[in-house]
Amino acid sequence: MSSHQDFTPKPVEKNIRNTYRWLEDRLPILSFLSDALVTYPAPRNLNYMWNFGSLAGIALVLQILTGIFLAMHYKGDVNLAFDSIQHIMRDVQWGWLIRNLHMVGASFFFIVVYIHMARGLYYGSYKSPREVLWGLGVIIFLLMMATAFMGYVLPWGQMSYWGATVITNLLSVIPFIGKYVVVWLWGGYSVGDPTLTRFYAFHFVLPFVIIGVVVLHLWALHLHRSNNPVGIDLKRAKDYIPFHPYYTIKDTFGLGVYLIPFTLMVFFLPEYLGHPDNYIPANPMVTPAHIVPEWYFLPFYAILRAIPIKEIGVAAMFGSILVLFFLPWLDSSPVRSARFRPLYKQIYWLFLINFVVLGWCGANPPEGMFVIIARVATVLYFSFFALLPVLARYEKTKPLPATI
Amino acid sequence: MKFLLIALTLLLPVLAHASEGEAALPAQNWSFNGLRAGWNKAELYRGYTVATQVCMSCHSFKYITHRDLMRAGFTEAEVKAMAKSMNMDLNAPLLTGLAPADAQETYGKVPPDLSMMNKAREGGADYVHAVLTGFSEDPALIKEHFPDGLPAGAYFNKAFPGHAIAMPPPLQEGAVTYADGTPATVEQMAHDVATFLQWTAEPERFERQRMGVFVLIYLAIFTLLAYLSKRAIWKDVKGH
Amino acid sequence: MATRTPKPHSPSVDEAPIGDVDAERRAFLVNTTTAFGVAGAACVALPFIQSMNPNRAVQALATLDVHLGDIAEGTNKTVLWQGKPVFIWHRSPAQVQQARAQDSKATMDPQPDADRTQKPDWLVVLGICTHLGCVPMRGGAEDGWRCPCHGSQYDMSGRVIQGPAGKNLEVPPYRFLDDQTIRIG
Repeated sequence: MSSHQDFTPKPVEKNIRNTYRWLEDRLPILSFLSDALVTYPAPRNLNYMWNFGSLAGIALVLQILTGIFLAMHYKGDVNLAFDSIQHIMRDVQWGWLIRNLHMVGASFFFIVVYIHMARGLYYGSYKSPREVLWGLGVIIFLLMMATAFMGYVLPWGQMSYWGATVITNLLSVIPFIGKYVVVWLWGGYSVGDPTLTRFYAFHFVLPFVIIGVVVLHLWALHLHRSNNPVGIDLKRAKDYIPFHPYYTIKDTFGLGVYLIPFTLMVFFLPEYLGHPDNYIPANPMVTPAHIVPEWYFLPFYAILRAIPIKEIGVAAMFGSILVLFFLPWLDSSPVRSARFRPLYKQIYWLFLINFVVLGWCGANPPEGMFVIIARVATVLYFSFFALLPVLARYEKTKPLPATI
Repeated sequence: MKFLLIALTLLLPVLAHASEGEAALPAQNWSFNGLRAGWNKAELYRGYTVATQVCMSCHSFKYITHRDLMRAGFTEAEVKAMAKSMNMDLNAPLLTGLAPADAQETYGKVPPDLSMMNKAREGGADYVHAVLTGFSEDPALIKEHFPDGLPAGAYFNKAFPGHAIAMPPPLQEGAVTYADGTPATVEQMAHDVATFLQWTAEPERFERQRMGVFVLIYLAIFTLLAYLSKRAIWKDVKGH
Repeated sequence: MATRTPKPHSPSVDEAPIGDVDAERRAFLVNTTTAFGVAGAACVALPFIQSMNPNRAVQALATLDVHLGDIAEGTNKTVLWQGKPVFIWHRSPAQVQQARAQDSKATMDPQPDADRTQKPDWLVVLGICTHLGCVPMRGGAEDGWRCPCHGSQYDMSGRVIQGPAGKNLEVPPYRFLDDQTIRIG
């Protein structure tokens, strides 16, 4: 469209009593929502693995809601932070519920997102034309990790403090400017009050940035519509069904199933995934005997520790996430779904098992056999990505069906 | 595919937890564990007696006031009488009279606040109980762990990490007199005070669990309804 | 996979043509699930709303004990109760008499001085102007209080005698624990 063309105002509904039309002609937000959530044509053969996308959205909204209510009572100051958490747990009415929801919700958010990513990996959802959709997903994952990390610092317990110290020190490996970057990030010469206050600010705002990227993620999704378990392009109208009521009700059912273990944790085992040391106020003089990050960072933490040279370890850790961006180009096989790729299917499962093994190493002290296992697992992690281009060339795929 | 994948993902957090070195603590029978558990008022009162008469000579419970005890089932009159016997305001936190500087000088360490102790140590109440009953003067045992003798000012403790603890054995037979006539053995006092510490660490414990039961029942019905609706709506899509 | 195409649904699944058993069952289930879900969501909202109400620590400070011994006759003291100033005025017999004489002039919100005190020599009122919440200062035409914000005036019993305020200074709930102590709240 050229701006030199004449502009002809569209005829609009004048009668405000005809509310839907009237609003639609001025701001088509209702039809936008309807296109996204009601009439959006979704493949009819999606299995339950496709529930985890909308579940992730719900988990994000829950985190933001509980987070806003926690922020009304939390104090971002090194002298008050720890006490303010106890204030929330003891004095604020239902404060314990809101905090447990937020705390357990973070872990469950990661569980959902990991499954969502693993599904994309299995069914080749990252392949053309969905490369940008996948890349946006990786950005969301990175933002989530940053948000979760900074959120864990806020209670200002021993694990908060030492986790913050260790992770921020990673940046000191940046050549030449590393140590200045770290001091700049801290706002001091160690993790301290300025650090806590700015982490609080970031922890508050990043989830809204995530929402922004999620909107882009959905935009990219709707352009080419969802991938499906068969992984072929669906061309017939009858291959699609409207999102509502079919997938709204399926997602509602999925939500119920998800909320049951979630509720069990919130009400009966809220501390299960936490660490006792974080109930000891931060003490810059004493490092806890065994310092571990939250479970969702463990595989990457294991890669960091597997390599005995600091600079390379840090690079490998960041590399292990950044490599995901290049996945669509590393895997050049034209077949999407692992159902039709016998070899890929096998290395896919090996990759997942290896990922869990990495997490197991990350949870254990870097001694004895764990060092060796972690090194082998690190090599295997990267081998997966190195193998993909080779596989694409030599793998004999099964014949694809023409339709579903 | 699905179940394997979900199982694998769930394995990650579970592994993370399982691999935390769990010390072999003798597990006790606690009144706050189990399906029909609740706060045992008699036990809590005995624990309160030990906490205020023994622990509070050096340790504080800075998140706890006498008023909080009403949440554990004590009546207002009882709580007022308890506060009065200690000459304390109902809303005042239970703080020790020992100044941190004095503690540093005498024990070489400021005694930690006890409000959160059961949450802040691996093993919780079992650990507290094990430490309180784990003091020993057996020379052979000490020699085994400390061939060159115990560090100056430290006491030998079987459960404490490193076995050299700065706290002198706090409980002696008959250190307190229980109002209900229970004999104040070391074992009894350790058990009672560990129960009390569980309450100070999570006074909301049973409000939480009771609410959890209702939410689970609700979710079970909701999920069933959603499943039936889903099946009814999808009936005409999946003819297979 | 089935090759049968789905029957096009009417836009809402919660309505069913009469006589269609399947559709009726479906509509019933969907409506029940929706109602049940909405009710659940409403219950979830309650704890969140409740979390913004005064917390236990604030509630614990809802009452305040004041020792009257250090308030000399004829002087007054302002204490803070629930974050609000409370005027406690130890009135002399002459001042009490003066306040009672003003009963007839307090026509805007008539109330006899005797009803505003528990013991005549102790006047306890909230130091909050009933107009828009400023704290009045001693003074005014009747030797009571006047508000610096908009000029409302109160007499020696805290009754409004000049607008824009329309109500007397509020008497907070209090009781004498003994001769020397009152508990406000």
